Amino acid sequence: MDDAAHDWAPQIMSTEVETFRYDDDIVRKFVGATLLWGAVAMLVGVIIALQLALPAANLNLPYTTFGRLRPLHTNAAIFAFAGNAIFAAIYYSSQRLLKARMFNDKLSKAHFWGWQAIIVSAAVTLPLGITQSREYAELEWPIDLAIAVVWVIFAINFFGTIAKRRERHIYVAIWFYIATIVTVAILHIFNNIWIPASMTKSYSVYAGVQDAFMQWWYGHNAVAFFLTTPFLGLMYYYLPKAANRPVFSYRLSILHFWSLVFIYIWAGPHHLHYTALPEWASTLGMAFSVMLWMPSWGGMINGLLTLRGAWNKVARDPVLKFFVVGITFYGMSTFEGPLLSIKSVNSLSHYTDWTIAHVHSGALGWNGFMTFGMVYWLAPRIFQTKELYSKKLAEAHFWLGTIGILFYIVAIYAAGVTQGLMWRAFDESGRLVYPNFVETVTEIIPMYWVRVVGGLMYLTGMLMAAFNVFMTWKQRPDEYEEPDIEAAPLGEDTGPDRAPEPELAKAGGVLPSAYKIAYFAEAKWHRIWERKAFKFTVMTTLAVITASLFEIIPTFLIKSNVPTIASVQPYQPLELYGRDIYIEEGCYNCHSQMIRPFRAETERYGEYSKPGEFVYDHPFQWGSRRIGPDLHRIGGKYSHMWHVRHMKNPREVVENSIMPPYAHMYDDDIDYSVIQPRVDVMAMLGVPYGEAVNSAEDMARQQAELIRQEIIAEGGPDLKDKDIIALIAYLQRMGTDIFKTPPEGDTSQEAPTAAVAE
Amino acid sequence: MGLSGIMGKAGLEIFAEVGLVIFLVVFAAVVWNTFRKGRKAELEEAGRIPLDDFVPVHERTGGSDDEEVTS
Repeated sequence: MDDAAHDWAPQIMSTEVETFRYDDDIVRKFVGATLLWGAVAMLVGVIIALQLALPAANLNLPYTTFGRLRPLHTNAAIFAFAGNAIFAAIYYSSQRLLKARMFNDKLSKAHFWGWQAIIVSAAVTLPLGITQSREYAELEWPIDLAIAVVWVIFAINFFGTIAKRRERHIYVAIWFYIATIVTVAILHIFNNIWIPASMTKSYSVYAGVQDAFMQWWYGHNAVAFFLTTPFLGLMYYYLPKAANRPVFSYRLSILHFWSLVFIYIWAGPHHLHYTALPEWASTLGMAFSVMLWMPSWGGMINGLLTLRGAWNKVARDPVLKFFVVGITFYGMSTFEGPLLSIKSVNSLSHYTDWTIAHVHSGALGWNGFMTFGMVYWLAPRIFQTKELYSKKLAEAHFWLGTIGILFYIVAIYAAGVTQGLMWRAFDESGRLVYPNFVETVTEIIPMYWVRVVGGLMYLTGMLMAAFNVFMTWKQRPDEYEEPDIEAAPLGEDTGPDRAPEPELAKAGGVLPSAYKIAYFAEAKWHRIWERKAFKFTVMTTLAVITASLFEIIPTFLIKSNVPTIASVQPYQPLELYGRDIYIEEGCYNCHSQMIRPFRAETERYGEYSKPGEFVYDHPFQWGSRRIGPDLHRIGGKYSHMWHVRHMKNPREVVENSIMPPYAHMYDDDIDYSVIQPRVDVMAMLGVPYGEAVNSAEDMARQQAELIRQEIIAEGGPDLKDKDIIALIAYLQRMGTDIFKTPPEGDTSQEAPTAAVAE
Repeated sequence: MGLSGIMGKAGLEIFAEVGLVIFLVVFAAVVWNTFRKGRKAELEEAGRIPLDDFVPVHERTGGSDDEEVTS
């Protein structure tokens, strides 16, 4: 046990010694927020899991439907629960690894309160349907700006701390934190380039294929740099602490870091296999995803081997138990990720619950358990109690959580594979065995119930953790001790890495360039990076940006590669408004708009989707999961009246449907005043709106009136100016342009034909 | 010409390819530098940094004695 570092001292000694104190108050705040938001995120998760098994749990309110709550769940889990956990991890460990108090206490506080304000605003706006519909980046533009400001505050505070550090070598955990901070900033900015149409509405500047590509470049790398790298930093600090031994191989951890930074950023396109994305991009994404196998497993093994000789501790210590299972789930998820990125596997798994199971093995197993391990380890230290309130309770949490995860993922893997196979099943005569989509849903409902049970177990464990930490907090001393720490400041860097003038060069006879080559070959530059935070950050940023450009630049070239389809025209103003309702309601959470070029899909849904069909889709709505059927060819498939009845009460039309009813669309009036500004923004983005730029409102009213009369003619109710009319206008238009005759002349400049639903 | 048009005509493709080559070279150099013999001791030392965070107040799980300040 006593192999701690007493025989070791920093290389750079200085005679003067500085006294400082660590700021643990900020760590206490972030730990509290982690537990609070963790409970909220998981509670919402259990509610939406229940909604899929029992549609009545949608409560028939506009604010509580699955489509609106699912983004709340994902955002809360990622940015509120995992986010606060990351910040707690960083604020505690960075100060100690750098031997310095945080750069500025006010910035720390601004970071904390700013982040909580963002979370609250997300919790308010998402149920109200204020969303960009970009998965895990749903928040609307004013909140995006606030996120950017808070992130900059965090970055200044963090890099300021590095600048005044008293430890020359920057430990690998800090590298992971640096990669997180710079990459998340880049991802956030480039995925959120929009033009606002109002305070609560904006349109992405990208459309269709490009938009999808940007979104999944973001979505994938949010997993990489928000849910992976900071948690690896956490692992490389807290695991050695809890095990009281250094990481198995520090050198392997360096390799782990650089290979992740180099490879991860390229893997995003694997989310878009067999879509309208070009083949080369998809193959590139797959190749890099498969390459990720190695560093991820290297990292997992490095973590687990750290415990060699200490496995007896694991049996006694719930903290280590959480870490061991957490790291094992890291290994499982990062094995499965590359597997799912292989196209043939993906053709089965995509749009099914397999993805959901994969995500939850990562989120519950890796992020959740690493967080719990850290929190249990931190609690007695930051609250300065001798022990955690109850180790037994933490043990119980561990077992409950582990079994909960297994219930969840086993059931949902089974659901995913079952449904995927049912979708593609053909009988002997070549017809779909399950042509009715809802049959494939009914089949997996029992597994949804198992998920509810697993989720409830995990949530209960979360509440036990919150209670345990709360009781530990109650035992805190009246006043926290703030011990003085003494450490020498960093002097001038005169360490061994300053390349000495080589003897040979001095003696003459060797060209100066040979000395330079030797300098490079000895890779002194990397040692200098390891000590120079600024250079290091620049190199990391460059690595991330170069990889991103390699992917992104060609997508901007795609426009010329994508065959333009002359008959594809912009949405009519009313259809655009209806599309915004589709976005508000989060329909993309359950319905894709992307028919892949497989016979099983074209049989079921119709002609496969072409890239050229989405050129006016700001933002794209391809979706990532089919809880309900694909909607790309829904236009003209059913009568208006079918939609009127279906949206009001889906089960009246489709027996066993699990879709929530949308009664509010029959009460809420179309807000015609917002249509013109929205059309104007679209025109600004290059959508050839022609006449609509001057008369969007009138055009919308005319189309609404037409649809109203058609519904009445079909024997339906009078729905004058109700939201449902606009939604029907959009649904009936969707995916139909490709079958129309292109208008004469230069189509790109033509005013859209007033094509109302057929 | 929209954003895509401008980006498309800017001739930036070569940067990505050069970047990829630089990536590979740098990565190979990092691997070599990290794993060559001469650096083993230095990096093993660096791996001990977390164990020495100067928290003097309480014993950690497993009863360590990290109170000692070594600087």
